[in-house]
This record gives sequence, structure tokens and C-alpha cells, in this order.
Amino acid sequence: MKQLKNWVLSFVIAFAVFYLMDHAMMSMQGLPLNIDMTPAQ
Amino acid sequence: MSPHKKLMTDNSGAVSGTFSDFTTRSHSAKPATASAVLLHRSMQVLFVVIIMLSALMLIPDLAWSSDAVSEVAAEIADEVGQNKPTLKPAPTMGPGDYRQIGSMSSRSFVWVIAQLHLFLAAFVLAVPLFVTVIEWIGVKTGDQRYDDMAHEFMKVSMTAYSLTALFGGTLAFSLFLLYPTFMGYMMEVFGNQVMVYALLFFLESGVLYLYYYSWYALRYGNKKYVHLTLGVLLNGVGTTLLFVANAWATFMMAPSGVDDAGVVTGGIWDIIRGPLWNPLNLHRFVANIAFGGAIVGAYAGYKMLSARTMAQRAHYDWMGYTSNFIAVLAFLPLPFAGYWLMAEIYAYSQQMGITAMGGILAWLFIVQAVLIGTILLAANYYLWNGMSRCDGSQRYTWLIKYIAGTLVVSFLIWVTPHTLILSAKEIATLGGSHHPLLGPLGIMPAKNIAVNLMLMGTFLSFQLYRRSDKVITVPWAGFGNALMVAIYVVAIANIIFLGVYYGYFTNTVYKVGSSVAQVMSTLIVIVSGVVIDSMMFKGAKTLPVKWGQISNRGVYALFALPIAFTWLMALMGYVRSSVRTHWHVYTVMKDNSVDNFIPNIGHAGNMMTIATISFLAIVLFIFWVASLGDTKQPKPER
Repeated sequence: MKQLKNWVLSFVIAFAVFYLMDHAMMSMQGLPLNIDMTPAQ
Repeated sequence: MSPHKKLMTDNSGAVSGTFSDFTTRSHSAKPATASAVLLHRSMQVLFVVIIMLSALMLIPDLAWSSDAVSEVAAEIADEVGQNKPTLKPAPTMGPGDYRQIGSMSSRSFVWVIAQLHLFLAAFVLAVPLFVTVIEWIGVKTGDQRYDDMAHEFMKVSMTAYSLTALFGGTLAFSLFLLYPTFMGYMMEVFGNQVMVYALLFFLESGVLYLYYYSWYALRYGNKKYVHLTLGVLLNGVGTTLLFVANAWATFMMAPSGVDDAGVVTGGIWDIIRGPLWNPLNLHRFVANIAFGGAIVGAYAGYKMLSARTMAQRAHYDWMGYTSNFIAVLAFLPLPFAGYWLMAEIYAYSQQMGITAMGGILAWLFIVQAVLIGTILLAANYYLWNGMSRCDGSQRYTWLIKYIAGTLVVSFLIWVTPHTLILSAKEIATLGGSHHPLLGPLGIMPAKNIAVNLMLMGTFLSFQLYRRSDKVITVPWAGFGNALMVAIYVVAIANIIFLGVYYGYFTNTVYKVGSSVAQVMSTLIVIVSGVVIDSMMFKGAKTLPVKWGQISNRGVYALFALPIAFTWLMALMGYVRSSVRTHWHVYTVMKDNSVDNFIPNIGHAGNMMTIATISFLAIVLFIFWVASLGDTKQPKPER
């Protein structure tokens, strides 16, 4: 159970870090983080 | 008495830690383990400093462009009379402004001489940087082997130093002889700054000789710190020397402090601080460390293969490992420094950027991919072979095939050209100039994915190597490992998603924008890997490492690295210089010589190869001379 918690927590942290980083990098360049999979205009 | 104290107080002058017992000491002795950890930590600190330096330079208001700095620089410039405009435009050059030596092309002659000078200068400026760090590790750990290794590195670079000065002098004479009007204008623009360079060169020579020749005179106790201070001073002067010379190259590419006609309108600080100065400073600083590490790695490989005793072999194996460690660790952030330089070139002049990456020079980026791929494959191969030194590595060897697969596939994607050189018949057969399958792999999004995965794979090899001789004991080891795996998995997914989605399904602005996030993903993996490992290695049990037991095949990789690095420097240096096309000073001073065109790729390739092979021959001479000092003729028997 502890091992499962470790993995879940690790992936949650990693997802959050990379999502926020993507957001920051794109917004710094004035671009929205368009992840709705529709072609951006 | 602790090993540290022993080194600091032993005044006998005897080498207490000779290598006769190297292998056995490495198996069990604690100092060797502690010093290895410190080496890694120090290199981590160096790495973090490089990252922080990059970040600092990326924030112009906080770094070099601050108003306060500019004001102080302007005041200094006023005092030395640099702010008084000369109101002389750049001269218009005619055939009479150029000279030739016989029928030899002046450009070709200067090309080779300048390249050789740059190779040697990069080497001699880089070696003291890591030598001082290694010397400091020797002091901190009390392990005299570090001190001996640092001294041996310096010995190799000392021969190169004289050759650097000789080629520098030849280059200066050649430029003044063959391009007198152009050099006259450069002197007009830079004025007294060139004398600062000369002064720095005197300082560099003085401190370098003092640093090398006082090695044994200032070896113990407080005197050792005096010696270390000399090392720091040497590196301060050397790095400043590099930055001063960079200003000349970047002024020719992106002139600042002058108007459209080339009239000097600003102070010396405005001239130096062009838009490409800091990106080039960072790029060359980091590249020099990687290059220097690769060259001394080859020296260690050469000495290891020619070693006559197991102790010597063990010593040079360890030296080769350290060199490779330095070279690859400095190499990992290098593409990002290059990316910044290229982005600044595009920001300064889109045409210049397109000439580099979309015109004739674009083909050279394919060659660049082959060379960088060679470097990464060789570095990884060396690490995988090196893992055989420790039985603990068996826990991780199953991962090697996956890393190798990723590297090979990424390498093939990276070297795929967007367009092919085809005959009319081949185009008709293909149905266009783009191959239906390879076409999509020839554009930047695919290459960005490939490059980032290759860098990440190389870092993973490093991590596995470092973990091979350790048994982690911290109670949160399970969470630490899970977090590291999660960071890798999410980073890889992020890089592929950004590359595929933004690269192929959105417009160009997103494609370029998302590449920054890809780069950041790789940096997060590297930085978090260094941090997490450092925390997890606290109190770790260490397993024996058998130095000298690497296969000879693995050592050959140490020769592949400097050869590929040298060729790469020749190649990218040529691209950087050629983007000026028919200008001596871009948009300000036209090149009206007979060589005012970008040569065809074949000719450029031959020139780079001549410079590379000449340099490698010089390196062999340097190695031979360095070994000659240890050779003693036995007294003849009467």
C-alpha cells in the first residue's frame, strides 16, 4: 500500500510540475497552453 | 590522523599515496570513496553554477545590461576617451585593400590559422577551470591522487599554451598583413580595448607559469590555499580574456555602438555589449570545458593503453573517467546555450538566422547532428563499459539496451534531412522532393524530440553509473526512486506531446514556443536528478570499484570524443562566421575581396578537415612531449 502511495504521489507531483512549467513557458511567450487538441489560430 | 590533516601537515615531500596500491585502495579505502563523492558534488555545483549563469544572462536587466553597470562603464569609457565619436565611417574596400601570399587564398590561410588558434585557446583556457576544482577536491579530501591528477592535467596544457601564443601571434600578423584596411577599422572601433587584451594576456601568462611551477613549492598547509587562489585568479583572467576576444567576433556579426555607416557613436561598452556577446560568452565558456575534458580524456586513454603496470592502468582509467565526466557534464547544457545563441541571431536578423538554418549552411546542421550523435553514443558507450568496474552495476545493466535503442532511433531521426539532393528522375519517381515517410522527420519538431531524448538518455546513463557502486540507505529511498522514475516518464511524455501536437497540428508560432518547454523538460530531469541523487546518496553504502578493469574497447571511446568535438567546433565556428555572408562587419563594412562568398559545402568541409587533422596532429605532439618529461635515459654501463 505504501509503495502504491509513493507511485501515485510521485506521478501527481511530476504531472503538476510539468503542467505548470508548460503553462509558464508558453505564457512567457504570450501563448496560451492550448491542449484542447484543436488546431490553434 | 585524518587523511585531510595528513596532506596538510606532511612536509616530507614524499608522495604518500603512490599508485602501487591503487587498485586495492580503491576497493576498500574510505578516502577514495569520500573523494569520489566530493568530485561528484563539486561537479554538480559547477553544473548548477553554469545553469544559474545561463539564467542570469537570460535576464538582461539583472545581468550585464543593467543601467548601473552601463553608467559605470560609460564613466570609465569617458575617462579613457572612448566615448568621443571619431565620426569616421567604415572604409569602402577595394581590391587594393587586400593582399595575398603568392597564389594562396588569404581566406583559406587565415581560416586554418584562426581555427588552430581557437582550438588551442579553448583547450588552455578550459583545463585550469577544472584543474582548480580537482585541486580543491584534493585539499578537501586529503587524497593526494587528486592533486597529482590535477598537476598532470596542467602539464599537458602547458605545452599547448606556448603553441596557442604562437598561433595567436601568427593570426594577428596574418590579419594585419592580408586585411590591413579591415584591421585598421577594427582598431579604430575598439581602440584601447585591444591593449586591455594584451595586458590580460601578460597577466594570464604570468599567473599560469606561477600556478604551474609553484605547484610543489606551495603544496601543503596554508601555502596550498595561496596556490588555489592563484588557480582562481588564473581562471578569472582567462575567462575575461575569452570574453574580450568574443566581443570582436560578435561585433563583426552584430555590430553595436556604431551607426549604419560604421561611425562610432557609443562608448566601448556599447561596442562590446552587442546582442550576441553574452550568448557567445556562455556558449564558448561551456563548450571549452567540454572540449578540454575530452582532450585530456584522450590523453588518459593514450596513457592507459600504453601502461605497463596494473597500477598505471588503474590511475589512467580513473583519470579517463574523470575527464569523460567533466566533458559530458559540460556538454549536456551546451545545446541549450547554442539554442539561446541561435535565438538571439534570429532576433537580431531573421535573414542571418535563415542563412544559417534554412539556406546553404542548413546542410551543415545535418553534419552537426552526426557529430553530436557520435559524441553522445561514444560517451554513453564509455559509461556502459565503465559500469563493468563495479559488480553493483548488474542491477542496472538491463536498462542499457533501452537507452541504446532510444539513442540510435533518435540519432537516425536527427540526421534525417528535410529535403534530399535528387535527380529529376528520382524526384519524379518519389512524387516530389520530400520523401513521404522521411519528410516529416526532417523538420525541427521531430529533431527537437530526438535531441532532448538523447540528452536525457545520456543523463540516465550517468545516473546509473553513479548508482552502480552505491547501496542507498535513506528511509525514503522508495519514494525517491518512484519520484525519479515519474519525472523521467512524464518528461518524455511531455517532450513527445509538445513536439508532435504543437509541431505538426498547430501553426509555427506554437511550434517554436513549445520547443522552449521541451528544453525545460530536459533541464528539469537533469537538475532534479542531480538534487534527488545527492540527497539519496547521504549515508549510502559503497561497493568496491575495480579501476583499470574497463575493456580496451571502452577506452577507444575516449578518442572518439575529442575527434568529434574538434570537428564539431570547426564546423559550427565556420557556420557562425559565415552567416555574415559578404560582409566583414555585418551591414556596415562590405567584403570586397575575391573571397566574398560562401564557399560550397565540399570546400568548407575540406577546410574544416584540414584544421581538424592538423590540430589532432598537434595534440599527439603535445601528448608525446608531456610523456617525454617522464622519460629518463638509464645511465650507460661502462
